[in-house]
Amino acid sequence: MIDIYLQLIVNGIIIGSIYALIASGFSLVYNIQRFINIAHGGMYVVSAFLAYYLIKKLGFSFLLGIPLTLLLCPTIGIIIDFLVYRRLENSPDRESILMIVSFGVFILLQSIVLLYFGGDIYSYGFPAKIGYNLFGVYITKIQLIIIAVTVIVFILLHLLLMKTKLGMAMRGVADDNIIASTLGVNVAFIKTVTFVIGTFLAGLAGILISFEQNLEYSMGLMAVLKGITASIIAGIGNVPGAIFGGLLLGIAENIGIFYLPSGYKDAIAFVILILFLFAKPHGLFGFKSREEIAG
Amino acid sequence: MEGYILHLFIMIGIYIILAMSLNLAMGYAGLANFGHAAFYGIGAYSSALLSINLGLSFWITIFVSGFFTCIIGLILSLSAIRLRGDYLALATLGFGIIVHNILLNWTSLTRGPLGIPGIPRPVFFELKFNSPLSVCILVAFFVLISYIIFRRLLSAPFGRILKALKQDEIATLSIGKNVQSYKIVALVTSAFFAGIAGSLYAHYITFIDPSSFTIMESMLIISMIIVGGLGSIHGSILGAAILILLPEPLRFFHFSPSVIGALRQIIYSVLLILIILIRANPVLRWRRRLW
Repeated sequence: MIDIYLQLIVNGIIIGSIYALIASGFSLVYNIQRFINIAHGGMYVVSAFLAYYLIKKLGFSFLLGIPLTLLLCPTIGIIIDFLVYRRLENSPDRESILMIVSFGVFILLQSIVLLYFGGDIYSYGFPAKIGYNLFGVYITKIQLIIIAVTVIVFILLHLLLMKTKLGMAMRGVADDNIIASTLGVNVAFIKTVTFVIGTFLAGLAGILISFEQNLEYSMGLMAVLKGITASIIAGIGNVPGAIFGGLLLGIAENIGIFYLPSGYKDAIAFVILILFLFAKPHGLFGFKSREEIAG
Repeated sequence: MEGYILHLFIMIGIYIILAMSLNLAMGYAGLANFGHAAFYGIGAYSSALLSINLGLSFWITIFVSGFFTCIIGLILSLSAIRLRGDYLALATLGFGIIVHNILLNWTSLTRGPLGIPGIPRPVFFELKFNSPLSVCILVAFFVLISYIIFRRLLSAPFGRILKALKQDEIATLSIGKNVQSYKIVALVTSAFFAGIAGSLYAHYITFIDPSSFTIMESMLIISMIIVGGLGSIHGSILGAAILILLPEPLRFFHFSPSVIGALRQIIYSVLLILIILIRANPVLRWRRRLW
């Protein structure tokens, strides 16, 4: 019995790593943009398909295709930022309008992918082999890669945020960008850098998941919403917490579908989301936001 | 050709009701609802199931399903009074997804992705609404009634209080208005009319399945009220008409279904983004104030 649970937990950690990547990128960006950016999921899809296109259709090697994609996606993100979001910064009801517009951007990105690739499911076609047996748990090579990459990325992120001057500036701008600017921080530059890193994380998540599960044009929405759920579990804007939230969500999902019909998998995440919004809107790690959440 | 045009009118009519109802909650009361399609779907499914399983006539099922949707709306309004802005938007989004998920998975009740076929067209004293024209008149009738009700509601003190609480909730509280109950009434009414629209849809198309009630559908309705203008009933009518009619010319190009679907979404999203950007432009806003 224990080994079933162990397997479920490991599966949860694998998908949870993906959620953690999305969630941390989302929280990072939320700290500076201060609105729910649904288009974060658009970056996820676009990156997955772009990598697939470069590697499978144009024959780039993984070593070339992946970094190229990860460079192009934040570029696209920045363009969208300048064309759309920056112009709406000062509008009344800013939060809602930006969320709606970001949803529009997301649908646009998703539709472009749909237009170009169609509704088919795409796959890298890695040979399906039974995984390694580690302590009674089965885990495949790809899954190990996902976990390994995620761990490395998070260590680097931690080092960046905590040990470098850039990271300190990023945290400062997230906390209070006015004070940060009086201390000589180039706020606009930091905002862009944060956005680039956040989008990079989403893009990386998209590429990693496309190795494990197949690519489909509609994969972005659930992914970003679950990433948001994970962020809220931890407390929106809390980047290290988002990692924990992602893992927790992944595990909860996997244990959940062990007991429920598997079709309800997505619903699990949103039930958790709603529970947290009601009971603990500031999340488990209570990140203090300046606005009231409950009326 | 005539049938096609009537079909467009019918769908515009149904979406007008949906848009007006969402506008009541979002545009007037300021309650973000990203899961409005859930009400639409609950109305459609309850009406369909009642008429097929219990053999009730359309005239009964439409109102029963409307009231059932109200009850669900009442449950959702619990979140509307507790949450604000982004968080309410997320909760309603989650609600919409959960409802869609249930419609898809509770196969013993809803037949899941297979959908429910064979929903009877309305019958009025031996007159069966079989022809497109008859359904069009029926829908137009409901649109008219809904429009009158919304106009009445919104020009009455109810409407003004909703506007007030959207602008400044604390100020509205300070003049002694029970903001919570206004929010609840707004959302429940919004749910009722969305349920009615769902029922009309079910009994017109005679087949429903969960794919018509996704979050994308909710986004479509949101786009309609934004294009038409939040807080404007006439805007909802315009928005519904525009968003239904605009992608229709695509039909004549003989693209494959996924291409048409993609282009349609592209049209919607670009229109939404453009309208929002244009509205935010202070120069244009100033010009609009003149009329």
